[in-house]
Order: sequence, then C-alpha cells, then structure tokens
Amino acid sequence: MPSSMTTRLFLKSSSLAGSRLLTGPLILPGQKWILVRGYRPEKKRQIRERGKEQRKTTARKIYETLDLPSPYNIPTKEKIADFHPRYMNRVHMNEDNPHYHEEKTYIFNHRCRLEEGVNQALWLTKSKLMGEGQLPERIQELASRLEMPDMEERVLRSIRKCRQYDTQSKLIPVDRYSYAQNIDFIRLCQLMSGQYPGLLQRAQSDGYYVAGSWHRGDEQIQVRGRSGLLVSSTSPLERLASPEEVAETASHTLPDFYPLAPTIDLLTRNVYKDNHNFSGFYEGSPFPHAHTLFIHDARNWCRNTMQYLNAQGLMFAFANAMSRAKLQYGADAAIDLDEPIVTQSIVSTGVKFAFIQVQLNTLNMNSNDGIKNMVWVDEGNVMYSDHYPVVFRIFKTHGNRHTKPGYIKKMHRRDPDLGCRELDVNVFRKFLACYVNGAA
Amino acid sequence: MMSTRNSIFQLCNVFRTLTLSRNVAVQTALPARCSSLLSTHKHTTLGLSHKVSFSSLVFRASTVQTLNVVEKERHRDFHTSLTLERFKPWKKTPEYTLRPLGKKRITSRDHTGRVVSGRRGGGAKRNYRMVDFKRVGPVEGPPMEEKVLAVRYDPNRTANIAIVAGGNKKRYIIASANMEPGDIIRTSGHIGRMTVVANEGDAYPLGALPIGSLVHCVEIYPGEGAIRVRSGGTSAQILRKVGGQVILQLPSKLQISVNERCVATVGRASGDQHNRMVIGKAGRSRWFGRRPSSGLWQRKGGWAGRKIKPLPPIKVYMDPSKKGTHITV
Repeated sequence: MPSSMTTRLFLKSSSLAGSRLLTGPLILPGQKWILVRGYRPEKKRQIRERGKEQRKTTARKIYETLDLPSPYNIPTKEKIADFHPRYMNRVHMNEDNPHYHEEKTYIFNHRCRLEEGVNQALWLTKSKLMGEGQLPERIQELASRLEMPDMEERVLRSIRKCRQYDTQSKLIPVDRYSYAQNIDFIRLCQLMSGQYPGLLQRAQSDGYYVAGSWHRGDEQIQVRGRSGLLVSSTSPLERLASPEEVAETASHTLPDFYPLAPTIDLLTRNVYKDNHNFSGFYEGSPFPHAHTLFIHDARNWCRNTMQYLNAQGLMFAFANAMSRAKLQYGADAAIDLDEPIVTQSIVSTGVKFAFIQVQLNTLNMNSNDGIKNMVWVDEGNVMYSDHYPVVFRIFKTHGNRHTKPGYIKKMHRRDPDLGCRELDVNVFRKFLACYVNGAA
Repeated sequence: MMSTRNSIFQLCNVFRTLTLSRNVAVQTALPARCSSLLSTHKHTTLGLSHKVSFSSLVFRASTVQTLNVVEKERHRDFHTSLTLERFKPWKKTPEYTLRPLGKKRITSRDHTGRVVSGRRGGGAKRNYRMVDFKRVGPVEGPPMEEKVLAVRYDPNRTANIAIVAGGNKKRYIIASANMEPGDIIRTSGHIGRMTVVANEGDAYPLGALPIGSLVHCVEIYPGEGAIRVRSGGTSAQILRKVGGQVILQLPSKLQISVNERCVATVGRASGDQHNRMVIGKAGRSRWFGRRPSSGLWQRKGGWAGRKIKPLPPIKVYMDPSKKGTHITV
C-alpha cells in the first residue's frame, strides 16, 4: 500500500488538517515531483515522454494511431511578427544598404585612440610638425603683448570656481571641471572685446557635427563626429607661415611606424557616404568659418598622457579646415592652395593645456611627395600644481575592526588650496592669444 | 482497463489495414500532420517542411540575415590562421576584441551539470580575454613582424599575456619570459635547410628550430593552435627530429612526437614566479576559487609515499582525425 494511502486512513477522523488532506487531491509521484536534480538526463527524457503519453485522451490516441484528421479544431500557432515599430528606423549595415561600398574606408571619430598619438595624426593629415613645441611666432608675440587688468586674480578665481565651488559633491570629476574651465576661460577672453571689437563677431556651438574625407594612397580616410565646442567667426584666420616656408616642406619626410600600419586603431567600415564633407554650417550661416575647437577630457583619457587627446584635437581641427576647403574648391580638387586655410584647437584637462594650430596648404593628399600641411603643437602647459591629493582622514568609531566594518572610515575633504599652488599665468596668456588671434 | 486498451489496438489494426487498401487520392487529402507510415516519399517531405517552418518561427528572418553577415565577417580580417572554422572563443561575439568580456564560472561542472572534481567554487569574478593561440606566419618570404605594446595580467591563466600589433591588427598572445613593451617579435611558417637563430618570443615551426632549444605554446597538430606548455614559467625541450616528426620533452618529462610543421614559440612562458607565490592566508585561497580540504581524518594508504614508475612511452600525434595517441613507439 502506498504511504499516502496509509496517511489517509490514519488521519480519517483526527483533525481538520487531516480532513483537508482527504478532500484535497492525492499527491502522486508525477512529473513535477520527479524532475528534480539527481536524475540522469536520459531518465528525465523518458519520464517526460511517458507523461505526455499518459495525458493524451483516448480519442486522440485513436485518431493518431489511425492517422486520421483530428476531430477538433486545433488552434494554429500565432506567427510572431518580425518587426516592431520601435526598431523600424534601423537600417541594414550589409550589402542591402544604398551606401554600401566594396572598398573599406578608415573612419576616425571621437572614440578612436590612436596608438602612436600625434605622430600618427601627422601621417594621416600629411603634415609637418613646426615650431619645435612652440606656438607660431605671430601668436607668441601676441601673447606677450596682451594685457588684462587683474589677470592673475581673475584666473585664480575662475579656477577656484571650477575646482571648488562648482557643485556641492565631495569630488568634482575631470570631465566636469575640464569642460567648465574651458567655458570659463572663454568668458574671460570675451572680456577683451572692448579693446578688440572683432571678438564680438564670434559664435559658440557645442556638439556640432563635422565631416571631412580625403585619400591617402589607396585608402580613404574620413573624420567625422561631434568633437567638442567650436567657436566660429565671420572671417577666416590669416596664414601663419610665409609661402617660402611652405615651399620648404616639400623636402620633409613623413614619420614611419613599421611594423604598425599608420591606419591602426581607425574604424573600418563598408557603409559610408562617398566624399562626405560637411563643415557643420548650412549656407547662409553668419559665422561659417571655424576659428577654434575646444576639446575637454570627457572620458578621462589623460590620466597619464595627453597624446590621445592631442591627436584627436589635431584630426578634428584638420577636418574643419578640410571640409571648408572642399566646399570652396570642390570635392575632387587636388591642388596646392594659394590662400591656406588656418584653424586652431585647444585641448585641455582643466590642468594641462595643449594649443594646436593647423595650416592647410595642399589638397593633394594622395602621395607623400610635394608640399605638406603645417601643424604647431604646444603641449605640456601645466596651469597649476595638482600633485597634492585629496585629504584623507582616518575616522575611528567604537568597537574594533572585526566587529565594525566602519572602524576605519575614509573622509573626503577638498583641498582648500587646490588650484592656488604654483599658478602659471603664461598658460592663460597663450589661451588668450589663441582666442584673440584674428581679431587683433 | 487492460481489456479496453487491447480492444483499441485491435481496432487500430483493423483500420490500418483498411487505409492501406485505399487509393492514393484519399492519402493526399490527409493533413501533413499524419505519420509517415502510410504516405509516400512526397508526403514525408511535405510533412518535414511543415514541421521545420513551425520550429523556425523563433528565429526571426531579419536576425538570421544579420547573423549570417556577422558570421561571414567574423574573424575574417583578423585571424591569419588556416583553420578558421575551428576557432571557438569562449563566448560568441561578432568581432575580435581586446576588451575583457564577462564570464560565468563553471566551477568544475561538466555539461550535465554534475561536479567533476571537488574543492572548487566561489572566488573573485574573472573576465575573459580572447587570447590568440594561432601564430601563423608566411610559408615563403620574410617573417611577419609584430610589436609588443603591453604585457598584462590575465586572471584566467598563470602566464601573463601581451598585446601585440602588426599592420592594422592587434591581438593578445601568451607573453614569453622576458617580453617587454617595444620588442619586435617574428612569426614564420618557413622550414629551411638551416636552422634559424631565433629570439625569445618568436614563433617558428619546430622543424626550423635547432635541437636542444626551449619552446612553449606548442601545437599538437599543424594549424590547430597551441595546446601544450601554456602555463606560467614552463617550457619544453626539442630532443631530436625523425622523418618529419619532432620529439619534445614536456615539463612533466613526458615525450611527445609531433609534426615538424607545428608552430611553437621560442623561450619560456612568462609567470615563472607563479609557483613561488605566497598566498598568505586561507581566505586568499578562497579568492582564487579553491575551497578547503575535508577535515575528516583518513588513514594513509597506497597513495602516500614515493613511487618509482617507468617512464611512459612516447606519445605520437600524426592524424588529427583520430583521437589521442594511435601509435606507440
């Protein structure tokens, strides 16, 4: 006799629970009770199939064994729709796409970290590094000439604002204060508009889209994306180097990265627009000429080196000039420009600054021969000493370290002198000179 | 009950004979759901197709298309190895990536979910790195050169791994003992008349290397990927070459004979301090996923004490289609 039957007899007139057991369904070792861990998979499969057989009705057994059509209307399975309105704007990135090409292109965007840094960007843009780590002479002269009342105090106040009084949170992250520092320095520079009214002919556009494309040898290179904050003006910048200096660059040889290819770390895509050039401004825009591009450390790349961000600043500044030139001279023009196009970019982590000037001399980018474009990179400008860490205070509670997890408590306190140690105002002078360039 | 069941089966037999005697036109009117006993070949195919269409509803048409494209593109532009189909990364991903991927522990469970060996479980989370064990170089011409960018730690193995780059490609390989960033390593598939003068970290076929040299990351069959001697600080020694086969001595003193076209990396694998690492406390051992041994007292038996056994015979790997060793010399 099974055990359940004995319990039935035993609990026949004993208690309420017993009566409930009797009225309730009889628990048999069914499918759900057997399919627990410990059985072999073959045994599990056997049990499952046996259960399916047992659950069939007699009528179903008959018509299945006789291979007759079923007397009941078995509902057909509903077909699952293979589309959803939410995802209808997605496009195929394969051969069906109208922009599909068999040849791949190399794409640079704001997420690309070039392995070789600025050197690799110099090869990609076919340009020569000028100035030996200094700004162009004209801008150096401008930096020494410019004067602002209470410059040191104003700079100090703006640094304190960005590093200490910006938010109430304990620590201000890099991506916030580097952006805020750029914005605040631009505001300071704009105060010079009384002396230089050309500064009023400027416009800021944050998150604008730029696209520039050219060929290096057999490979097409495209720079595109939302790079940073662009300050554009009504008039283009003047040239930085004389035509004689431009003609000298023909003898320059571009850097070599063997065994790495110069296009390493760029994205390779088959779906792209051919000759995709867009300056970010439509026709009729009052401020069409890209003046300075401000890039901040949004992804905390510059903990050790600034080379990735510097390369990004160079590539996007070059793309600004290239898209302007393609608009002016046509997409297929491979000529040396009589009036070179000049753009700037300022890369900052809030503490360290790099000033980059680009002069586009030629659109003949295919070969490594001929005259080159020019690039000035002034990097490693440290605004103030940031070596002092945030103060940690050890805070002891009652108990000991075995009983209380909060025995040693870290307490963040902001450094009250942050940004005030070893302030270098000359870095701001360079910033000011780059901004005022074109208006003075 | 039994009597009713018997009667049903009898009925079935009667009807089956009836249906068999009917003409074909009646059979065609039957739905495709019927079993293939009665129907002709045509009907069986029809029925199959119907079933397949039902089961394939789960896979949407669009996803299948994109998956196909991804499969085509996958590893095509990165891996230079000959046997592309056999590359099985731990997780199916559309592209080769240097980014560490999330991973679930199996804690010594096999495919049925049972414990295979004890004392495993818990520990710190680990991420999977796609290490490329296939060092395939050009058979003719100068060797392929790559630059070491960084040497990094890998929680999934005792050796360190290195990021190397050549051309437009980057990948992880097992680092050799003295590898440093900036080194240039060579990979070749050429077996010349003379043996090569190889530096540490270079990969050559075993037939091209001199007798007595130390190697790691040894392939068992050509083009399959390194399987032997991958753990930290280990190395195998080339003993002799016999008729297209190379005989190696593994760290366990076992001798194997493999094809001379099998690629191996010169030098010792990195992480030689692995066996001297001081764990320090019992809790740190748990961080590595090792559980403590049983506290039960057990009498020492035959397993304890020193045993002197004869050396095992040479293992010969000749045909990749056969499993294990099939010739004993």
